[in-house]
Amino acid sequence: MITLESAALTDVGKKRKGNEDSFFRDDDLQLYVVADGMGGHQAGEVASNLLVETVQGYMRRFQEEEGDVDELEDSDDSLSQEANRLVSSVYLANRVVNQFALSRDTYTGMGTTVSAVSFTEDSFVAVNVGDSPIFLIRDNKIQVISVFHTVEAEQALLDPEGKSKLGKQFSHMLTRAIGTKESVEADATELIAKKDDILVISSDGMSDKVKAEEVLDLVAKSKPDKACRSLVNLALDRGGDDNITVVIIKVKKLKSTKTTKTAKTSKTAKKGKKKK
Amino acid sequence: MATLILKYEDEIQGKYDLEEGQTIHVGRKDTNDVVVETLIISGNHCKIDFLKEGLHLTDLKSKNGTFVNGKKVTSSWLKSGDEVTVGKHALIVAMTSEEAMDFEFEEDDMGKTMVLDPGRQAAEEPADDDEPLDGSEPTAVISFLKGGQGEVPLTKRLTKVGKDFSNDVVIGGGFTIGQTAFTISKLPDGYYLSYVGGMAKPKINGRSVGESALLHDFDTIEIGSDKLQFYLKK
Repeated sequence: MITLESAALTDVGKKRKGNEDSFFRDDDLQLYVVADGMGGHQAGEVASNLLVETVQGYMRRFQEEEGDVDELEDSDDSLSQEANRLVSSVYLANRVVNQFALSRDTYTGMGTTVSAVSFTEDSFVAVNVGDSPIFLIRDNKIQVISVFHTVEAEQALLDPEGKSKLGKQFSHMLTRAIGTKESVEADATELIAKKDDILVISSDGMSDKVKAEEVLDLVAKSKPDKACRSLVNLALDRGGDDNITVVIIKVKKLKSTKTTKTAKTSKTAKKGKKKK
Repeated sequence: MATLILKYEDEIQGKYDLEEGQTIHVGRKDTNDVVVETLIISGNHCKIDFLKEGLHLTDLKSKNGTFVNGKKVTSSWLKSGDEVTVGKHALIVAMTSEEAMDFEFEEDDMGKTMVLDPGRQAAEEPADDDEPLDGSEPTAVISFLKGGQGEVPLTKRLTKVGKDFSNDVVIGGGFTIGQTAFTISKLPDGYYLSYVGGMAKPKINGRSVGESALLHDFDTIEIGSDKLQFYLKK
């Protein structure tokens, strides 16, 4: 197993009354989630909370029952089994949030973003819906490994020159979210984990105020807990217009090659049995 | 005597002489006389025989075809000044023997053939520059140029390459090659190669990869004695 060190911090910010962000962080489960909820009358809080609870509950069942949980049918062949689990948990959460939204008038139209990272024996999976970024810091470079599902980002992809035509209100207009529709499509990325990799998951309350290069500077030189504090403080100093949530995960140690092999063999054996 | 001039865009990459009775084979495999290491070209693409009657071209059932002056052919007689196109490369025929003098091309004709864009004729090439952003996404493929055979579509978000059989792509052994030597991941902005382990570090276009690097169309990847090519297929 990969050894990880992580930290998380959330702050209501300076302008909002409540905190609609939710997060989850567990170094044993090796699961990390940030959700940025939306909808009036505390519905945003409900949505992001429901998502986090559903995702972590689903992923926990796999670990505790050693995989004897029925896999969802709509699995994606391009992803590993572990990655499919995380995607499945997000799809399940979508149905849960959507049903809640339909159950009460005050919840109508509520939704949330999700950005989740989970680790396997030697790799990690990043899944997202919405605009909460997941950054990867490797080799002293920073890049966003999540996909922004906003009108602005998608427009920019189709027409790189046309960005200026859209008003500012489109920068956070989501084209997809968890809970707003019966089904949703998540984007997923799988990467091999390397020692000293750092992942930063945040809500836009941080990423709107702090540039990627600044994230790199602040995170690369300090421990996760200290770096979380610096990033949140910087976002607050610059106005704190929105709720701010930051989760930072650092790869401390990779397991030896020998353990990988045994782990893999036993897994394949299990799979073979299941098929019979 | 006849000479074949190998051209890529405007650059002359080689000259090949042949006498009556000789044959020149063209293809990607290194057993050919004219070796063009690019995936648009088949392993054994075509051959040119210098027969008594003259130069004769035969397409060896290549995947993307052989063209003479822009026209797809399965076999054809060649005359001086003809342009044979394979993939994005062109072979210009220049006859110097006395009996071929009748076919000697005018300088104007030579000028004309030179501006032909070989890439445009090979309509079935695997990738094109003007890929629409919103259209169907191209499939990334890695194909063996050396050390193995065939191509592997990168359908997974994470593809592992190494000597261990648990990898998605298994490459030749050798103690310098890692169990998993490198991986290729699909990220929002493209495919990234990451070095994982082993003494042999992967090289992209001859340059060593530090931790990870973005792959571009037709990049070659070397690992140990194996050579692969990365490209995007429509």
